[in-house]
Amino acid sequence: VKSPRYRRRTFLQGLGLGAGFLPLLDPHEAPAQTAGFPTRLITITWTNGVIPNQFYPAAGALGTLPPLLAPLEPHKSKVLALRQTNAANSPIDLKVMIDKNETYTGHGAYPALLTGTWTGTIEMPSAEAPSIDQLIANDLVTKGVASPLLNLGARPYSSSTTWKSAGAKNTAQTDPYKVFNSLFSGVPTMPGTPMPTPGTPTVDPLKVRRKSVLDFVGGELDQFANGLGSEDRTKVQSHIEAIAQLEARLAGMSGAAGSGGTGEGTPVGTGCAAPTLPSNKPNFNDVNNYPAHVAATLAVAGAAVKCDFARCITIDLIDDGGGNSLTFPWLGISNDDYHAIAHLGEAGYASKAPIDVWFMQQVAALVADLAATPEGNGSVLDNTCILVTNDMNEGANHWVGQVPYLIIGSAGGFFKQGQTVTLPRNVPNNQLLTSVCHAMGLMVPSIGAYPGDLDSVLRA
Amino acid sequence: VRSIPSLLVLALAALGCTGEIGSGGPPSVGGAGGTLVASGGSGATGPAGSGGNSGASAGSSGGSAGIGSPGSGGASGGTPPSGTGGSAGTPVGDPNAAGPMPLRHLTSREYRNSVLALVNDRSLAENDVPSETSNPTFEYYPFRQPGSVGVVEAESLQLAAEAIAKNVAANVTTLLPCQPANAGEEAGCARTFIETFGRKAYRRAPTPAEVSRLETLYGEGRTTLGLDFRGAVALLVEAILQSPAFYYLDPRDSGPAEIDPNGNVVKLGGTSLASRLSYFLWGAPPDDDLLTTAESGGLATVDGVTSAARRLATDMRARDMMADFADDLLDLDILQSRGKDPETYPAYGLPLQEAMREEVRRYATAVVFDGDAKLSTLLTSTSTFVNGSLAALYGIPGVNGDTFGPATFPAGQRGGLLTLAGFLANTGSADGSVPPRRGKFVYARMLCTELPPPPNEIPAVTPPMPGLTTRARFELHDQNPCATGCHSILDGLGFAFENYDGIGAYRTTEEGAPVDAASSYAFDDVNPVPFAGAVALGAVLAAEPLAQACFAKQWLRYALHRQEVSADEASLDTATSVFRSQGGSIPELWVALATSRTFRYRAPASDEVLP
Repeated sequence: VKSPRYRRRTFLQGLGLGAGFLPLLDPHEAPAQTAGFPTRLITITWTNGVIPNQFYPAAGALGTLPPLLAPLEPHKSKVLALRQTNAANSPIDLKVMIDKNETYTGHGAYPALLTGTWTGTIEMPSAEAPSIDQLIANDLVTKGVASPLLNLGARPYSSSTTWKSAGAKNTAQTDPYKVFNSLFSGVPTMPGTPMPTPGTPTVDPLKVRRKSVLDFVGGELDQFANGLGSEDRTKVQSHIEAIAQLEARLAGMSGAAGSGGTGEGTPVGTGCAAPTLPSNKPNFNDVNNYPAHVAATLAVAGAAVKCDFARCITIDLIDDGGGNSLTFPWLGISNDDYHAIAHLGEAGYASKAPIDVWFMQQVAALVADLAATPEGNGSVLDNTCILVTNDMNEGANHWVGQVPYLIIGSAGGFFKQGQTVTLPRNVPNNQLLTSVCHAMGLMVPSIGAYPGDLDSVLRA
Repeated sequence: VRSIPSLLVLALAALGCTGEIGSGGPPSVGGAGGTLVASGGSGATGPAGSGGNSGASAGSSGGSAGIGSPGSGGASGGTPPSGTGGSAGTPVGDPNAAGPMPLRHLTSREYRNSVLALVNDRSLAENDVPSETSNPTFEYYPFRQPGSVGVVEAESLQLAAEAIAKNVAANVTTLLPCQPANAGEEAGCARTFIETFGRKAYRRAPTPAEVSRLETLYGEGRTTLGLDFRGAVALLVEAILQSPAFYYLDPRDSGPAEIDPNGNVVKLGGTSLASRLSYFLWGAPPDDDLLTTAESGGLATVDGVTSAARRLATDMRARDMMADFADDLLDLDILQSRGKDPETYPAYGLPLQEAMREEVRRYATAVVFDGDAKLSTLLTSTSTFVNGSLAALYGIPGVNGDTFGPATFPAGQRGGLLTLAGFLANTGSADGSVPPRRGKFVYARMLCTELPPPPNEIPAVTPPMPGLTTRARFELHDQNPCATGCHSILDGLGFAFENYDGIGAYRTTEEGAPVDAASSYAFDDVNPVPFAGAVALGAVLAAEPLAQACFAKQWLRYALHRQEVSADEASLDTATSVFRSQGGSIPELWVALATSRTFRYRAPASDEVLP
C-alpha cells in the first residue's frame, strides 16, 4: 500500500516539480493548433434560459446577429452558433437529464452542462463525473502545466458547472481581488513592461517561507490521513492535492509568462498585464455592484489567459435557481427579480431581453479584451474557445432540451468561425463537450454517457 | 411529441420549489454577546460556497420525533431518507446506537473564534477563510456545511495564517510561556511554546512526533529563512494554523479505542468530546478548564459531561452560539443579497438589513439568557431590541440613531421570532410578500416536513392589481388543480404572515382591500388548527408536538454538525422528551443532546483503522 506521502510526492512529480524548473508553457500537441501557442477554454454560464426567437441566427454565414447576440456583432467573424436544421432553436439537449425524467427542471441543470452527466435531485443536483474543464486541466497537468484550472463565479451557488469528480464540485472563487492577489502580484500593470527573466535566481523571502510552511503542512496532512475511513481520507486527499498545487504554483512562478511561444509573430505573454480593478473594493453583496463584480471577474479571467496563468477557466455569472436573488436596477429593472421575470415567459420578455443582452455585453467585453491582444499572427481570442451556455432552454419552461451553446474563438483554428452550423435536433450535449475536449488537445472518445463527437460538423 | 409549455410560473419562483438562490456574503454584524468574532463579512464578495448544502433531506411526515432511515452517511449524504415517523415519547431506535462523526474542518465562524482564543486576533473577516453559505431555498438542513479543501480554500488558509502570523510577530511576547534570557535558551523556549501553544491549537497535547516536526520547522526558520527567535515563533503559528490537527475536528483519539460492543460504537475520547462540546455550545475551542477536565477523564461519565455542558451553556460564548443558531435557522446570511425595489421600499438598504440581522441575534439571545429560555417564549415574545431605522419600520416611537435598545412591539402587531423583520424581509419578494415562501419556511424549518416535488407545469399567479390582495391572487392560483399540491400545504401557513409586506412592515390593507391573515393548518393532516395571524401561529407552533420535535431535531443537527441518521433516533427521542418535560427549555435541550449516546459515542467509519 502506498503511503499518502508517497502519493503526494508522485503528484508533485506529475506536476513537473521533481525536475526543478517548471515549464508552464509546455507546448502540447493538439490538432489544428497554432504552433507554439496554448489553447484555452473559458466557459461562461448563467441561468434562466434565453428567448429562443431572439437568439439563434439563420443558417450559414452570420449576417446581422439576432437581438440577444447583438453585443457580439463586432466579433461575429469569431462566432460559431448552433441551431436546428428546421427550427430557430438549439439542437443540443441535456439528454442525461431527460433520461432521468428531469425534463422541465432546468434550475438543477448546472452539473450537466459541462459534465454530460447528472444525478441527484433538482434541489441537490450533482454530477457523476468531472467536468471538461477539470478533465482538460488534468491532462494539461500531465503535460507539465502547473495550475491550468481557474474556477470563478460572481454570485453564490447552490450548484456548479465545474466538478472535480463525481459528487465533488469545484469551488468557484467569487472574489476577483483574491484571484488578483494570487495570480498577479509581481506582474507589471502595463503591457510591454519586461517580465522577470525566467530562471533568474532571485531569492524571494515570501516564496521561501511559503515553501517551508507548505512542505510542513503537506507532511502533516500525509500523517493525518493515516487510518482514516475512506470517505474521510478522500477529504484529506483533496487537501493534500491542493497543497501540492500551491507548491507547484510557487515553483512555477519563476518561469511564468513571457518565456514561451515558439511560433512566429508575437510571443505568448506579450499582452500580459495585471488587470485593472477598482482601487476601492466594492461591496459585492450589494446588488448595485453586480456589474462591477462581473467586470472585475472577467477582467481577471482575461488577464489570466493572456498571461497564461490559466488554461481552463469556468465562470458562473449567476446561479439563480429561483427566487429573489438579483434585480437589475442599472437597467431600470428593480421591482421584479430575474427569476420571477424569467418565469413570466413571453409576458416578461420586454424585461428579460435587456437582461439577456446585458449578459451578452459582458461576454463581448471579454471577447474584445482577448481579440485586442496579439498572439502569433492572430490574437489570444484565436487560441481560445469561449463556450457560452445556459441552464435551460427558456426561462418559463425550464426545459433542459434545446439548451443554447455558443462558441466564440476557434481554439487555435479548430472550430469553424463566423457561421451558424445546423444540426438535427436532440443531439446530446456530450458530443459537443467531446469536441471541445478535442479542440483542447484531449482526444477522448466520449464525455459522459453518450459517445461520439461533433468534430465533422464543427471543425474548420 | 414534446410539448413546450408556454406559460409557466411565477409561483414556482415564489415557492422556491425549484431551488432558489440568493447570494452574497452576510453583512457585517456584531455578535449579540460580543465575546466572539463578528458573524458578518467584511463587505467582501460572496462566500466561495465551499460546501453547499449536500445534506439529505429527512422525512418525518407522521410522527412527532420521526427520523429518516439511514442516508448515505450524515452530512455528506445525498440520499433522502424516507420518513419513518416515530411516535412521541416512545423510543423506537436502538438506544445503544450512535451515528457517524465524519471528519470535517472548522467553519469560518469556528476558525475565527479559534484564532481569537489562540492569539486574541479578530482581524479576519468571514470570507478571509473558507466560508459556507446557506442554501437560500430554505432547505431542510439549515446549518453550515464545510466542504472539502481545494486550491481556493488552501490558499485562503495560507493567506489568513500569514496575516495572523504577521500580527503575532509584532506581539510575540504575550504568547510566549517563557522569555529566553540569552540565545542559548531560545531553542528550549521554542519547544515549550510548541508544547503549550500546540495543546491549545490542537485541543489536545501534540504527539512527540508532532512536536519534533514543529521543532524542525522552527530550526528551518532560524537557518534557511534567516528569522530571529520571534520571527520563527510567528512562523510556527503560521504553520500550526494550517495544520490538519488544528483545522479539522478529528473524531479519533490517541487510543486505544474504547469500543462498546453494544451497538458497535466507539466512545469519544476526552479531548475529542471536549472539542465537540465546545464547538457545539460555543462555536469555539475548549478553554483550559474544559481541556484539563477532559485530559483527566472528567468527561468520561454522563455526570461529567452534564456538569461541563451546564458550565459552557452559561458562558458568554454560548450567547453568540445562540445568536448564530438563529441566524442560520433563518438564513440571514443571504438577507443582504435579496434585491428589493427601491421605489416600493425606499427605506430598505444596508443599514436596515444589518439592523434586521442584529435584532434577530439579540432577540434570540435575550430569550435564552435573559428570559425563561423556553421555545414558547422564542416563538411569542413581544420584547425586542431596535435601533432608529428598525423602530421606524415597526412604528415604535422615540427611538433614533444606530444604537440598539430594548423595546416592545406595538400591541397585537408582532410576537415571536417569525414576526421579526429579518425573517419577513428574507422571505419577501422584491416588491411584496410571497405567502408560499414564508409557508415553506415554516413547513421545512419549523415542522421538519418535506414537500412533494413540484409539477412540471404550473400556471402563473395573477399579477398585482388594484382591489386584489396578495392573498386573493394566490387563492385564485391555488384553485388550479395542478398548483394545489404545494400551495394547499404552503399557503395555509404562509397566509398567516400577510400582515407584513415584503420587508416586514405591518399592514392592514393592501391594494385598497383589507388584509386577511387568518388561516389554519392541519398539523396531523386531518384536523385544521386555526390561527388569526402570525402572532397566533407562533403560539400554536410552540404548543404543537410536531414543531417541538422539529426544534429538537434542528438542535441535534446543529450539535452533531450533520444530518440525522437512524442511529440517532433513540438519542433524539430521549432529548426531545427531556426538552418537553423541562417545559421547552432550550438549555436543557442542549444538555440532553450533549449527554446523548450519539453525541458521546460514534459509529466507526468504514475502513477506519482504530488505534
